Amino acid sequence: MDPIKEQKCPACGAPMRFDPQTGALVCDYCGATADLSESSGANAPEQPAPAGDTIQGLDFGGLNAQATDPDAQALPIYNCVSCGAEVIAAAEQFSLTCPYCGNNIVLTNKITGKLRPEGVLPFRIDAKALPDAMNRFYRDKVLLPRNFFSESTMGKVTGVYLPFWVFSGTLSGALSYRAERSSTHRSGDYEVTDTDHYRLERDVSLDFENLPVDASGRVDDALTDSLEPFDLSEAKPFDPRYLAGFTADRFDREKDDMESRAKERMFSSASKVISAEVSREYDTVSRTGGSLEADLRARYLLFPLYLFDVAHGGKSYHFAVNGQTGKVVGEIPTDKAVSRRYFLLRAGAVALAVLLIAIAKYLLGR
Amino acid sequence: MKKRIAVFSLFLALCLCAVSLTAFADGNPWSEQYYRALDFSETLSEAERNDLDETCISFMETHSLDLAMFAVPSAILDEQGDTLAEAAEEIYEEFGYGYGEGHDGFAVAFNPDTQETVIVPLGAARGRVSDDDLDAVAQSVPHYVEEHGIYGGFYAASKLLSYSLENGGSSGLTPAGAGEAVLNGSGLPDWYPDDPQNFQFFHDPNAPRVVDAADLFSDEAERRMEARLAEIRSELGRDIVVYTDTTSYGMSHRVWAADFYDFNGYGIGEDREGMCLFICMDPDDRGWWVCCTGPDTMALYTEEAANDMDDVLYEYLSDGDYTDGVEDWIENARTLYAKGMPFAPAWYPGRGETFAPFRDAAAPRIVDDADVLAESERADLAARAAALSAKYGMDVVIHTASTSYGMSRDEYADAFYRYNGYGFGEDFDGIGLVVFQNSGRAIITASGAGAQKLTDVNRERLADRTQSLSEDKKFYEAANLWLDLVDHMQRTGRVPRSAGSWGLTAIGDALASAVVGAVALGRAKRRMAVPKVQTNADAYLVAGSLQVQRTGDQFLHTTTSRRYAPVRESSNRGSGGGSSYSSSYSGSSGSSHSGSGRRF
Repeated sequence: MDPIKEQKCPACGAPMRFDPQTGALVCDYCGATADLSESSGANAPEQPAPAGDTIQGLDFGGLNAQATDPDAQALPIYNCVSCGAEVIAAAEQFSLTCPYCGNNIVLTNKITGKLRPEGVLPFRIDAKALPDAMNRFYRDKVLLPRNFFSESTMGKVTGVYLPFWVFSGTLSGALSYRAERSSTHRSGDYEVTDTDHYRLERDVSLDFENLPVDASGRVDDALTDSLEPFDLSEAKPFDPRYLAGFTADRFDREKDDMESRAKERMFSSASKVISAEVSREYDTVSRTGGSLEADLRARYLLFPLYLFDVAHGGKSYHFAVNGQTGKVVGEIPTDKAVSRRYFLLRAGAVALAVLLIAIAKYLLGR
Repeated sequence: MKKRIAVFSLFLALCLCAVSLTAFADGNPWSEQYYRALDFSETLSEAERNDLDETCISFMETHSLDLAMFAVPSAILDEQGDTLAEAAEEIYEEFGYGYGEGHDGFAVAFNPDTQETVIVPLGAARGRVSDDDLDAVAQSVPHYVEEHGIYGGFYAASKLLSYSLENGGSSGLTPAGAGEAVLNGSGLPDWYPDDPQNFQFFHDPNAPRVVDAADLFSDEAERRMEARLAEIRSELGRDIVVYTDTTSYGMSHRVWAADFYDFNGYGIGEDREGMCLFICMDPDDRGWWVCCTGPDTMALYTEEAANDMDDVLYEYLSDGDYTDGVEDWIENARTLYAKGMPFAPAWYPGRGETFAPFRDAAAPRIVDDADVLAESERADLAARAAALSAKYGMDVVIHTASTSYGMSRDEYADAFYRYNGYGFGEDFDGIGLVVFQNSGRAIITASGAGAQKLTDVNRERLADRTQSLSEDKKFYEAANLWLDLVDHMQRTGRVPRSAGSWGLTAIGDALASAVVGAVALGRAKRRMAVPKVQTNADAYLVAGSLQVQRTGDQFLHTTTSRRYAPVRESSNRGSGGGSSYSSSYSGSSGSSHSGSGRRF
């Protein structure tokens, strides 16, 4: 199989890209469009034959080994099919744009077999809408330095399909608790409190669905976590054509490593809701023993993100935008002078109002 | 209760350990964590529990043996499958009763459903009282319960056991009527009827109103009291009786006081209006009870009035000043009948009197009852007040007082102005200042034209600025300032604020503005929140998927703690603490009474 797959316009041969607004491939040169639902023709997805086991839920055991297989990484330099230029791709990239002719390229040898994502959440927000999203984001950030954000300070926006492990499954186990129930009554001048102590045993189970965990080490987890939620009902079976015009990374963090993080988050929530349920009949409940076991399945999906930096004061601030919902997250600085002015203005207004009221009351003889 | 007993075998060791560790924490060789009278049938009142608790403590101090008494109904015994004796022992040990390391003492248990009574000696108490005496006491308890309720039964048990111990544990008590044989001592008084419940009340105008069986008063004092009580009876038509004794004959003070009043021909009219002060000088049970009879007396003797009167009486009796205390109490009782409150100034009109407002031009306008002004100061203030009166056509009055006679300060100030003939014209125009000596509180009262410019703010400023001096005992300066401020108010319509007040406003303003600014800044900073790593998966929990199956709930044990939390605020009570007050109770005859009492 050709290791390079390009999206060509069937009308003029120019590169095509995925348009988030229409959900179709568009040619920016002749305006032709190609519906992604078409399963035949030049742009129909080529379904690579699975290598070895098919992707079936839990079994990702050898995936990372394959990701680091020399065959998968031996092609750091590609020749663009369109212009013949040499294109260098990072090890984790499998979708990119030729910097010389703008051709959209998918490196299919990086998405074969178990490396092939199970699905993709297509972009729904167009990059042109980002300035508006950013303005909405900054609207109530009144302590920002002046002129922090403008189109001139906003760096290059990169649309990226970022790899995520999406975990679903059941937590179950037997837990034991110590519980107390108190009743208080008066006895003369004393308040007498009788506290009954109990030992409780509970079999519990609860389900979690579609918890995403960032499978790429390239973006800070705080950023990707803060972009939640993603609507997984819009997930599509993986089709390289969704990647046209965007960068795409494959995972570089193993599913097993990320499963521990998913478990931590699930255990935290489970502990809270189980305790709340158990303590319904008691005043206080504390866990004394037992444990929960997790039976989890994972899917390998691509999530849409826009990434860009804002340069201010010699420092670069990283931002990310949920390509599905337009939610913006990023680290923003606080301007001390603006903060001081903000405080003094409000304090001064209150002080003046109180003073005027006092003077008015005095003049009115009240 | 059920669980406390049910887990006794498991919890006992812990409980006893805890008790033994805490038993001597307060310096006594016993634990006071729980009342010594536990009534699981819930018929004892709070006052009765308090009385019994003190009786048991007194028993313990006398005999170095604990005494704990429990009323345990059949339902609890049936549920547990315990006999009454087993329950008594378990409760005694579980609640940590007992004197000293050996937890010596008696557990008395009474079943109100079957009238069964058991007395279980524990620790060193075993053998101290003979079985015959124990049986006699146990069989006497139902007799007293029938007569006086569970309180009376428990009280009698304590006295009978005490009697037996004082007589070497073999006092020869007999089961039938054992209580009476012991408690009577020299026998119940002759006047006590054989059948109290069918007693026909009568009025005996010649019966002594002072019966000093405890010999607290001199003959001369008794005669003086008798004479005064006769005057009051004649003047107000209410019977006031003073009775002292060295015993209450095994009954509670309240019941014995009521019985004394009921069975000796006291009370005026069909409702037998009157009150009886019974002082019991029993060394183990010293205290007093004021028994009120008749609807008018019971309505007048409110809990507040009772506490006020008892506070004063306590100060006398606790110092052993019985004659002065009782004579003062008689005067307070008279005032209560005459004016509706136990303490009232002479000028306060009597109850039922029709008061016609009047003007007394000759009355002094500076009334220094607290005696805090020099003669020259009074003269100076009188001259200034008169000048202001003439200038504005209204009365200007200044009064210093050392008490408000049980009224609120505002009520007292208004009453002082109204009942002393102040004010000009039909509306009694005028303004008055009342300063209380002890607290320095300044109260403003006004009528007619004097109240026209006295807005709430002006009233508050007049009082506050005057008070700022009177609280420092600068009464003359305070009165002078008040006259200046009244002049200013009448002239300009407002009372000027003090410099300090402006300063406080400025400080308050600065604080408020700083707080508002800080809150606004804090909210703005929260909106600058930086991205954070998520630590939970709440949003991914499948709704309704939580299954919690109960596989085993095991009850372990019960722990009990108690915290001292009196319902009534006692800080304004006398040093003897608050009174036990009962708005309605019955004597042995079934007659209705109210009253209050205290120990001293």
